[in-house]
Amino acid sequence: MLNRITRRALQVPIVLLAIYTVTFVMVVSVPGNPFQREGSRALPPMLEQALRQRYGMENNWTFYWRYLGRVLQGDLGESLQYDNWSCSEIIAAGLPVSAAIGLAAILIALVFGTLLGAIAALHRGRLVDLVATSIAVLGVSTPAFVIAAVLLIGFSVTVPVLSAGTWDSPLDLLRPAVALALAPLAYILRLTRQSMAEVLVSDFIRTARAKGLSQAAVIWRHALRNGLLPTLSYLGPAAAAAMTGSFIVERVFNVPGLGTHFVNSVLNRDQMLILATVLVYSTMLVVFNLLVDLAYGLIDPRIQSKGAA
Amino acid sequence: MWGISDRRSLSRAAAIVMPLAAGAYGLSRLTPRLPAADLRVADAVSIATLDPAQISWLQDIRLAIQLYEGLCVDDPSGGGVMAGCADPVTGASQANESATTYRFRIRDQARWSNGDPVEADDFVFAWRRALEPGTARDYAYFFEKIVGVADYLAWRKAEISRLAEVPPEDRATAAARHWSEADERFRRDVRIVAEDARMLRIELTRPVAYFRELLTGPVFLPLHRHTVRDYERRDASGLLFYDSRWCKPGRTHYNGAYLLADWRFKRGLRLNKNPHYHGAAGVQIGSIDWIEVADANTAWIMYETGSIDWLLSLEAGFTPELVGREGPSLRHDVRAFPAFGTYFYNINCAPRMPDGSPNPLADRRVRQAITMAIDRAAICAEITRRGEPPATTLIPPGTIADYPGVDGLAFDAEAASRLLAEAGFPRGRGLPEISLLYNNEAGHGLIAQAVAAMLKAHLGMRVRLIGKEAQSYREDKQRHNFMIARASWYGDYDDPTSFLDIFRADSGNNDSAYADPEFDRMLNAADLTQGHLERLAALADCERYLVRDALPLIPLFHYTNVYAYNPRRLTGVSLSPRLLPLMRQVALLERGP
Repeated sequence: MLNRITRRALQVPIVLLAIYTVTFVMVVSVPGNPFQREGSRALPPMLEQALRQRYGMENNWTFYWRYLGRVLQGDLGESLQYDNWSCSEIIAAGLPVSAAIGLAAILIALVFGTLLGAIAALHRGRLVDLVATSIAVLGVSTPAFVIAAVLLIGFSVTVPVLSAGTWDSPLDLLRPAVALALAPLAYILRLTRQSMAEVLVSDFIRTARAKGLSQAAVIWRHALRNGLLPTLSYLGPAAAAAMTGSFIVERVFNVPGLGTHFVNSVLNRDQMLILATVLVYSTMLVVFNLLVDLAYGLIDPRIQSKGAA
Repeated sequence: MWGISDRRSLSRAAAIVMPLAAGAYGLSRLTPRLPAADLRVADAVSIATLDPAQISWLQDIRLAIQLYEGLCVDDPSGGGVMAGCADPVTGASQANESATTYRFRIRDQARWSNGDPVEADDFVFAWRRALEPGTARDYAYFFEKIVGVADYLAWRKAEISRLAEVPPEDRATAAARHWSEADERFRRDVRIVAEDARMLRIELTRPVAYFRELLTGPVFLPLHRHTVRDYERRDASGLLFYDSRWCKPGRTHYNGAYLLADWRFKRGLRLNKNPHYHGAAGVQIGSIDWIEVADANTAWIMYETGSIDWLLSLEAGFTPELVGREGPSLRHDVRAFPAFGTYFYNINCAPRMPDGSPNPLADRRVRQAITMAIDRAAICAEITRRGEPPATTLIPPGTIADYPGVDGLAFDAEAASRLLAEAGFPRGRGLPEISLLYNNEAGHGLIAQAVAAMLKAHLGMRVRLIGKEAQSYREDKQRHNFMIARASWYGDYDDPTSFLDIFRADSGNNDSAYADPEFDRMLNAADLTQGHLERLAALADCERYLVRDALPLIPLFHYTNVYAYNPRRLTGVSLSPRLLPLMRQVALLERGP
């Protein structure tokens, strides 16, 4: 177990360097000059030269190494689009917001997905199952912007209980989180239903029942725990994706999160901000996958004992 | 019912769920909530910078003029210029006879938000900063009208090139010498002079009829030099750099009606009334939330549900429906009004295309024919539908006081067809396929399709539509890699030259590759014509030449802007085409119906 984690941890910098390199190549090869901004007047060549020099972007080679050096020192560079903000500040402003929504979304998805999935597995082929699986299909197939718009209009205009477009109270967290939660919820529901259904017909469940354990104890102690394993491995990437924000959901609810920058920095050719957001996202992805590995040990003791053996 | 091990499982489940919930709650409360502001204004675009030297976008200018006050201020009520933090333009702040020397006396009551008096040196400092290589940006060229600036900059640029050649170990010493010489040269040669603490003298190289209009622009705003200077870095390369954090709240002081109290990235800014502003007694709104709402549908819902008092733009798909509702039952709070900008197409006038093939559009008869074959009224009525006036000219009519305006080429399909035949392409025969470049956003594609259909129907032209993502589109335009391309222009100051100058042969914004010595000569002569009305008439001749004869552009329509606000609640809202309202003139009535 420890061995495996150490090995994985050692891979992290290599993976990140590879991601940085690939992203960098894409960033500098798309057409469009980051210093010529749409809607702005043409920048005199001398000024562009000066700016490139200032940001260490005279050529791609110096840019690659100097930016890498800065990142290693914890400095994510300057935004070319937002002159008064550094990339670190932009990410520091957006990440907590996206992370809050993402955590809430994952929580909703995890709790309801597992619950509904377990219920569906227990009542396979019956009405409850049908309802639960319908939710799964709906959640996977409805695009986030539809759900977001329905939630926005539904709870701000039709039934005006929540204020639109604000980010002041924890209540503002609710709708973006629900909008983001539906897809992973549906996925978790399906995973849980599937694996629980398999577990429920296995021998050790029959043994447990034969031992005289109550239905609840069988499900809780044996079936659900095993049924959760596939969900767990899905949780790492899902959490990273949810916590780094969604462009659509953030736009509809006017939430100042990080997702906006993934899209806008590319449209603006805000090169350092593109690199910074990609690096933050990939770091989270890699770290969460590591955490999932750790959590495996917590839920499934077999993995721990294998590692120890 | 639950055994020990069940409780353990339960606590394990809680161990996963609880931190998630606590984390989400905690993260959402990271930034403290501000007390509600008196007025909530929303814009669709985010503030790019609050550094007056670097500002070039409308949303930034709009905010900067609340925080800083220049010598002259654009008058939002009726166009023209009014006095800013200098005494009214009669009396001491006068231009002399030949109108090349301006002296401005800064008001005695003009103060920074910490109580410091506004001094002439604050202007000298800010202006120098705005023109120095390194900090200079889009509008720095305005300063070249001032005596000594062009020479000073030429010397600076030569020195910067020289410093680059100096071996690195000696560069710091060489740069230090250069900087002290630069200070001296600037003081000696550049005629932006603080005669005393309150008197600023500016000498121009030639009379500039619109100099006061120019002075309303963001590059001419003053800065509190004692605080801003701390962020300066005189680089060994000879370039002037600034740590841009000086723009953040609490770093500097403001001489406008408002001061910056808070700025949250992508969320909004909080402006509070500046107690030291010389007109503070007349400023009615104590605090303003300046919110960014990127999505127009959300902005509208926020407005309708009362989270926003004033929408500065409304670019939603349903805007035409809201605007179009006229009559007693109309939404009285959605107002479309003319803006100081024009939507047009650039026509590439270069004799050859970038691939070397001859350019059929180099013949002005072809350009005229294309222009006359486009039914602009139909585009406004069927596509844009926000009350945009169809355009035949570059300058929006009625936006510049005393400017007579001209008539361009109106829609006339038959005349267009005749002209094209004269040019040797009867019914489009012999013409290659014409490409029309536009950026994919905001309905430009629909307009392009309509234009292509009109050119096919009336002239038999084959038009290929090329919709590109904004940056690629921009790059193609700058390389003149297009035949016809979408364009737009908003005026920077209240004078026809603000529009006409873009078609000068040497203009960096001349995307049409239009180089016409005749036009440049006309424009130079007109600009220097004596007498206000005579000068404007001569400039009108230039515009007439541009839109009737030369046609490097196809005017399509003049922009309108849409505000949403409740006039029974907000008063003093300016519907000036410049779109630069001064919040100090706005008042809030008791909550209206």
